Amino acid sequence: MQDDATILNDTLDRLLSARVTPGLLRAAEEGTWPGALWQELVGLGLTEIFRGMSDRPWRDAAVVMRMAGRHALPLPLPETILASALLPEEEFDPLEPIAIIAWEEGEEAAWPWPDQVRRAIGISRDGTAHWLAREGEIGAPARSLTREPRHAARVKRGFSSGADARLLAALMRAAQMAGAIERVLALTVEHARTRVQFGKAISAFQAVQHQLAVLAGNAAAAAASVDAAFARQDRSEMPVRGGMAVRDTMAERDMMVAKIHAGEAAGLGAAIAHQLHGAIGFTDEHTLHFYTRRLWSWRAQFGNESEWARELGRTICAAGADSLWLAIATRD
Amino acid sequence: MQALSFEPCELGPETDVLRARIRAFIAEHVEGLPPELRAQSWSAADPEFSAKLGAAGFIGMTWPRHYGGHAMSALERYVVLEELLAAGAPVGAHWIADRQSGPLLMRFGTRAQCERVLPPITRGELFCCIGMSEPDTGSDLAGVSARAVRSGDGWCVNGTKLWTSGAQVSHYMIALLRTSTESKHGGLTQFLIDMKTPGITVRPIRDLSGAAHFNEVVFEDVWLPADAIIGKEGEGWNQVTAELAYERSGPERFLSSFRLLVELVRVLGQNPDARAAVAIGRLAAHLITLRRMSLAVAAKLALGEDPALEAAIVKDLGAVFEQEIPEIAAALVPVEPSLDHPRAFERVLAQVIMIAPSFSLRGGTREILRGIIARGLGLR
Ligand SMILES: Cc1cc2nc3c(=O)[nH]c(=O)nc-3n(C[C@H](O)[C@H](O)[C@H](O)COP(=O)(O)OP(=O)(O)OC[C@H]3O[C@@H](n4cnc5c(N)ncnc54)[C@H](O)[C@@H]3O)c2cc1C
Repeated sequence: MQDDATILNDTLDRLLSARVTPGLLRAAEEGTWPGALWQELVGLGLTEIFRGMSDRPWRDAAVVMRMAGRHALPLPLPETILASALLPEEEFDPLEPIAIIAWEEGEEAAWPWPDQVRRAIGISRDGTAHWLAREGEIGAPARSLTREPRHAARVKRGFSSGADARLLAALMRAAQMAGAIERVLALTVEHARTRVQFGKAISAFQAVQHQLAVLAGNAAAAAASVDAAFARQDRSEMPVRGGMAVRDTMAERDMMVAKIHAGEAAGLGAAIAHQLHGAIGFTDEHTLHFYTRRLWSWRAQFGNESEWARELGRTICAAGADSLWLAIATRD
Repeated sequence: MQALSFEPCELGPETDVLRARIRAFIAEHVEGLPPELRAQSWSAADPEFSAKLGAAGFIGMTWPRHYGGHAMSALERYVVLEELLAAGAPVGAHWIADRQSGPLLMRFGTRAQCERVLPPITRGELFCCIGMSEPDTGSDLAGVSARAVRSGDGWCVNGTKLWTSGAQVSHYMIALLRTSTESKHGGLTQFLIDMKTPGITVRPIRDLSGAAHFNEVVFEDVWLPADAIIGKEGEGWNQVTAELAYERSGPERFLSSFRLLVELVRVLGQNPDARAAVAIGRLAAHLITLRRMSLAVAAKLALGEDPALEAAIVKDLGAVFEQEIPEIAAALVPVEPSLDHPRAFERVLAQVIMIAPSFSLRGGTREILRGIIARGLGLR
């Protein structure tokens, strides 16, 4: 990681450690918008990464998205940053939170934070991005496992782009998952070193050590695939703003790979973490579930592992057996 | 908890020329080989192939020119290795000499040892084997009991090395021997042993696939000159552990069953059903990521860092991946594996099913690797 990305990473880690307390998380899940924190994050310029604030905006966006995952940040900051990359310059206001949601033409939307978030990018299964504004009364709750306040809502559609925005949204979730998995690993290592049974820390048991080694390996693979996909976005010549007119197939490949790895590591990592935490990790009081619930939810959003694996597999098979290696052995 | 890092690593444009060169070599010398032989990849030793590869300049690529090397970068070498492995080239004869014996000698050996051994390695004419394991010494490697005792102005060796891959074609063994019983780890020393020395008996051991790649090597009063020592007396353990990052993170740690994946894609056809497409996409994703992680370790090694923990992670994940391929292939294509079948898929499947158990044993077992990772996490 370059120096300025490291600084951003560490600054944000310290800030979010201090601000995103279990208390704040619980309040947010009960519907209290952490407005002061939103102001503070916007004040740092984080929603302006794609507006000339950074020479490698995707790398910096990845840092913020991972940190948001690591701290289970209950604000649509990753979404707003991605929206800033997708929307035409004149449509974007860095102070305004924007959601990114799954949405199909003619349907109601599951709209997060309906009192605070007025506009969203709705992404349909075919990858089209629609610029949406919320209309009328707020409907019934439609919460996900993240417990982010979300309600059914009617929307007014603005322009649509033919872009494949769905993969970018999938990559955003992959980055958040990579961050949350890192946190789950750290919590579980800490727990294993401090929980004593049979007269010793449970980390002394080899069965426990090996479970954690598996978790660490999968966490590392998820992080590596996410970093690579973001690094490629910065190198890609294809603009995403206003829609990816020309497709960058390598960038698409790497985004799929990232979502597949992060999703797999999410399932496996959450299972291992809960197993090693024992009953305490199954309680509402413990903080582990703030991360594992998000992992279960993000894993399914904007295409789960098997959906993207099917897509990638079809491309590979269509190219034929003798082209398989060519698709793997790229220079970057 | 040690910080893990796998920095994205790009190969430079200069590697394109090299990749084209090695692909041309492969088209000429590998593509005509039978698929079941290609499925054995780096287990299969073919001295003639190694000589051709050496003559073409693809062995000892990173070594200095005065030792016959080609002064290229570690990442350039990586490109050549991965192409050879993906194609299933029979690289087994020179593999160990190129991967670890040469680098070990340059790091710890004398100039005379290097001058004697390295140039013929780069020509693909001199092969090395690793004598670490013994009948009673596997994972607990520091338990080595084959002994070297001072005798005249040299050493006298007695004992048995086991599972020594390629000993029957090798000219030298790099052996880990006990030179003192006073300290378990501190009593070990590495030796460069000429396999023609009187008193050495090599007995090939057939493995379950019917091949005999590994051997028992018995030493009976084998006299070695004083200059057979590599590095310092009593430093064997430290030297061996320095070798391991090289041994554990290369592309051979996730490409061992790649030929089966190729044949699997071939039989599934260009328009597979959803279940097959999911499986292929997932395996491709894992392969792409393992390669990235392995390249990141290669880049660290080239900078002189010691990414032992990262290397253990690559090998652990790589072995899981390599062993999944035959499982998935067998689940998707319900045929009986057979070495005589007219179609390549059945033959390659048969071969890979049989060698797959070794993927998580050789070079450090899964359990030992996970122990290393756990230590890196601060658990032990
Ligand atoms: C194909 C092949 C090629 C090889 N080539 C070479 C070679 O060229 N040179 C060479 O020196 N050796 C070679 N080996 C040997 C290889 O290094 C050993 O097989 C390996 O180190 C394991 O030793 P072992 O087989 O004696 O198993 P053991 O050490 O007896 O292990 C048996 C089982 O017990 C487990 N176990 C052992 N200790 C622990 C522990 N502390 N905690 C948890 N589980 C444990 C192991 O993980 C394994 O599952 C080769 C092996 C194979 C299969």
